[in-house]
Amino acid sequence: MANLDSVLRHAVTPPAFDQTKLNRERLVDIIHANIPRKLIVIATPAGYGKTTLLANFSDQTELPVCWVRITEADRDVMRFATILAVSLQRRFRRLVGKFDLERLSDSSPQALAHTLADIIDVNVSETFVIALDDVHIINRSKATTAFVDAFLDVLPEQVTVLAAGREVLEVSLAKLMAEGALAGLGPQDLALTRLELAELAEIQAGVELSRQDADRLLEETRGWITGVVLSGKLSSSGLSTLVQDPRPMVYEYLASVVLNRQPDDLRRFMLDSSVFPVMTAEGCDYLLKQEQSNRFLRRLVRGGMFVTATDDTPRTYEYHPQFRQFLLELLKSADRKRYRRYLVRAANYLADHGSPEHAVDLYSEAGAYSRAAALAEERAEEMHLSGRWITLESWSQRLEESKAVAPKVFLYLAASYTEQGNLEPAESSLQRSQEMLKPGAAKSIRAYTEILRGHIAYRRGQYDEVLEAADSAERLLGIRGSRQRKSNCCRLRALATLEKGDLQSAEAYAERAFELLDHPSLKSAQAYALIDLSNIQLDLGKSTEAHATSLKAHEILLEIGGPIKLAVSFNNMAYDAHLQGRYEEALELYNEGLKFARQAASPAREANILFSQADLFADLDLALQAAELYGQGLNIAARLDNLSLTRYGCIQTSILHRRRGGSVLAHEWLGRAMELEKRSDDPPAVTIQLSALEAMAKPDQAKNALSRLLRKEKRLDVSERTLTLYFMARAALSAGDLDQAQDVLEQTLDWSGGNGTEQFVAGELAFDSDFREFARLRLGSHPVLSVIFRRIETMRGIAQLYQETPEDADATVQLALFALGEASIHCQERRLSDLKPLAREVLFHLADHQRVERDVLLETFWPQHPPGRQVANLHTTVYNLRRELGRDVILHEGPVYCLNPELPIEYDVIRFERAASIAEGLPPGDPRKMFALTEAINSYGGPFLTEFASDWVMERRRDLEMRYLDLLAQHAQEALVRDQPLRAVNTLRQALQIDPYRDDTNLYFLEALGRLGRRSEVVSHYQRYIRLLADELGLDPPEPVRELYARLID
Amino acid sequence: MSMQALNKLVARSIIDPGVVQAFSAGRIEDVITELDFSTELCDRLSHLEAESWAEYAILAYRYVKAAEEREVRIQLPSPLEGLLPDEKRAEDEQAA
Repeated sequence: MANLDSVLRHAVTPPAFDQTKLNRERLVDIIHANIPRKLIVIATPAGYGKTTLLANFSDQTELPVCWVRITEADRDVMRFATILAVSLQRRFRRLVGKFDLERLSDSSPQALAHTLADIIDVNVSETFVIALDDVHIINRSKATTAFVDAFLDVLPEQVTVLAAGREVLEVSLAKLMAEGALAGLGPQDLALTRLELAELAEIQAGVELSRQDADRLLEETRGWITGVVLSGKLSSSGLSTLVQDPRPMVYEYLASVVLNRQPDDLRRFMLDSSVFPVMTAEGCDYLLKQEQSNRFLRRLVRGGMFVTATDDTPRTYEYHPQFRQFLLELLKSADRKRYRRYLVRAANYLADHGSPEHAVDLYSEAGAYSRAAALAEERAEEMHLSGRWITLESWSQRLEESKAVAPKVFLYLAASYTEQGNLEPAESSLQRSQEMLKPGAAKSIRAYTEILRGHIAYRRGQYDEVLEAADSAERLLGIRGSRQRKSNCCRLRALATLEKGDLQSAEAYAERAFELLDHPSLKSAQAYALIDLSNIQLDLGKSTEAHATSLKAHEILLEIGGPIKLAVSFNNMAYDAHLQGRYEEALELYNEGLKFARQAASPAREANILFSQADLFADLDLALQAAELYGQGLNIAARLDNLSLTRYGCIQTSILHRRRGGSVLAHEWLGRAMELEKRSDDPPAVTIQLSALEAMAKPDQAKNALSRLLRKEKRLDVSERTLTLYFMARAALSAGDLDQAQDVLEQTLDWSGGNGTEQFVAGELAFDSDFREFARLRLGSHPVLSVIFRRIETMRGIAQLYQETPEDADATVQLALFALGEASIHCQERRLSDLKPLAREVLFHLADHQRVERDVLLETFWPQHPPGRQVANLHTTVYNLRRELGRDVILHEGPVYCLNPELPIEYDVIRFERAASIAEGLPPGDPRKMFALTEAINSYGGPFLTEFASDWVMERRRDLEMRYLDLLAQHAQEALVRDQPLRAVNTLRQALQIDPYRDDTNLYFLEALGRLGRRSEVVSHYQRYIRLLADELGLDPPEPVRELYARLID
Repeated sequence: MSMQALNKLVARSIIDPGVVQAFSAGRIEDVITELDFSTELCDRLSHLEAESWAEYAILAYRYVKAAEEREVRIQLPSPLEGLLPDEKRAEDEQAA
């Protein structure tokens, strides 16, 4: 904190709450009572003591409080996020270094909010409060309001935002209210009660108010605390000075009572120092050219001169906003020159002490527009790079009004707008900048204006203009020009030539663009250049080079990238891994990509990654998982009304069904894709898939369509060309033209091997055993085919990790034991019903414990028998079992008995436990989790060995049932996260039948019913539940259940 | 637009006890008509029946949200259709 500038330090430090302040316990209690809610609003006009109440609460509460005092500068969302991050770090040291806001400089307010909330959630588990003071300022900033709204939406449950201001924060209040997450205090709540008034009189003036005086004061001021204080009654000047209006003549009072009664030196100090929005002793000394400021400031605080101070060192001070306004107006009217001189001097100080925003404001207020412009020009690039475009926007407006010349402010504002894709304001800012630039302006700046012109033209699809702008910029830069700017020109050329179809030149330009960026400070530009280069290399079929390039870009982005860039980069890396057969790595990378896409609040990117992930599951033949993900992606795409994304999802769903033999459904999905955009000619992807569907029934038609596509479509991408060739070969095989099939398949393999598209062939061939066999017979020695066959084997291996294949397992099972639900024993597919109960139980015990000491068996099954009898009984039982099952089924190794591990033995408990472990091992929200949970739940056949009641059985039954209940609860949770409340209800019904008392299942059940809008069921279930708890256990329902119920019913 | 109006109504209820008083007296229409709701919503919200202000706010939110939800132009079935065993399919249909 010592390094923070005074303005920033003041912003994150609560004002001291000392004995001169009224402790408003009832209000502090109300705030405490509402702490579980996300937002507590305190909204009153000025003078009701909002800030003091926040300070009061911060002082009284045991909870950690992060303080944020909002100023006009916080209309820039990046500044607000910075202050919030500083405040959080100040309170929680473990957060230091966690908020890397630089990498978020180009993020949307929503993405910023999601990232901050995620960091809080991961690092801070304790309940705490974020106190925001003066939130009405935020209402005037769309971006900061959007940030706070998104922040509240994803706020971890352990955090409460306490927001005080003259207006109610303009966020989604109705939604918060409907969720039971909002509480509010208004003027009626903050108005003084008689008791508080009496206490205030005692504290501030040492007087005891009569009941009559108190009533009169309350009546006239309506409990408005400032009215009471200013009434004069509390400064012992008599109740007669009370004004008739509920609002006293504030300025007159301030002048006559507060200011004019002070000694000259202090009065002078107050007037002059008021030019500072936030004061420090050092700042005031600089301003006033003296060394007594510390003394004056302390006197002001002691005298209750409308100054708040922090408790930290060095202390910061602030006049009450209305009082400061009064002082400034007085100073200005008394001596305008002096007023301006002090404003300029204060601005100089702030400019040198990390507050350029306030400095520009003060210079402008002083009419020193050229100084304001000079400072804004000096800081414009820094503001642009740190995402502070709203500050640039505000400077540009202010400077435009004053007719000051500030070309860089407009230039960097244009750059920010361009990056956001906000092209119209980008163009007008650029034009304004060019108008302001003098003919002799630095060439690098003029070159930058050309580069920006190029970027705007590129985004508008005007590629000739892009090249012309790059030419012009390069001419201005000359031989010695900035390498970064030159790299920018090369990037523009690469992008434009790529769009114009000249891939070779595009690659050369992109390589040059990267080479020019050889300085470590240019990492962001390096990453952009590498991403361009990787895309071009991919289009050129140089998959290995593309992968290496995107890996380089990814490494840079991991260091400096914001969520949207990381989402894109992880998706690219995952796609590469998928194409190269590193499937498990791809799954992990997609998950990371999804996390960042959600953090970036980018649903389109999220849908994109969901589709890519689904494509991988489809290749792995995990159809349900793939379909679920396609469904999620399509829902998002449809909601966004994004035709190209929706079309992609439809085509891929068609492929999923085709591969599994569902040709009717495949046709339907393809039809939907075509219906979305009716064109005279179908896009290549549609033609390929139509032909794939017809390759068996109408092979000649399919071959012709694909041949036409190859001839006509010069710009088929490498994957489309691979599939076109593949299905031509498949159609030839269906038509009985084996030689042609072999010939074209060979071309397919050559092409895919040379362009890194083996996965597209593997994905198809894995589902076509006839064609696979044909390929093996005719082209078995082709090196690419070996790669593809290995891929298919790997895909199957991975699929087995997620999907049980009981048919295969059962085929070789010698002994099958079923202990869950109806118990049974099967040997060589024959059900054994003649085994005696004790022998059955011993067999299950061995299956369950795997290796059991003889003594344990004796004590478990024959505890009452004498030792000799115990051993004889064991031998007899084992003998009987071996006779029924075969001699080699039960092994006896020294003192240990076990089932032969070499034999294929199926035991349903092990299957359940294995499935449960897989499901439990997956993180919440993982797309595989739902399926793994379903698999595990389905593998629980019922209670363990209900025919036996021995201790070990009972204990095991209880444990397995508990685990099953946990799985059901997790399944319901996942369903709720996916907005499938009905599914959750069905799952939870199973859980409640087994254990109707369990808190979490009852909680989720009520929540699911609530989401389905089944209010009467909520009521009846809750009533049943509380009766049951009371009657059977003598308990009340736990707090979370009670709260949820109250929320659902309210 | 209507959601913004509802947010304003909730905001007003915090700073102005008159809103909740109007609701309790069955005169919420007086407040609703001052806000920027469509005629249809204005009518519906004016005649919503609720036992408390909190319940009214929840119901109002549901109405306004339903009214504001953009009509999804593209309607698609679930890709799971045709892949699920019969039992699961029935469950999903029920859910849909």
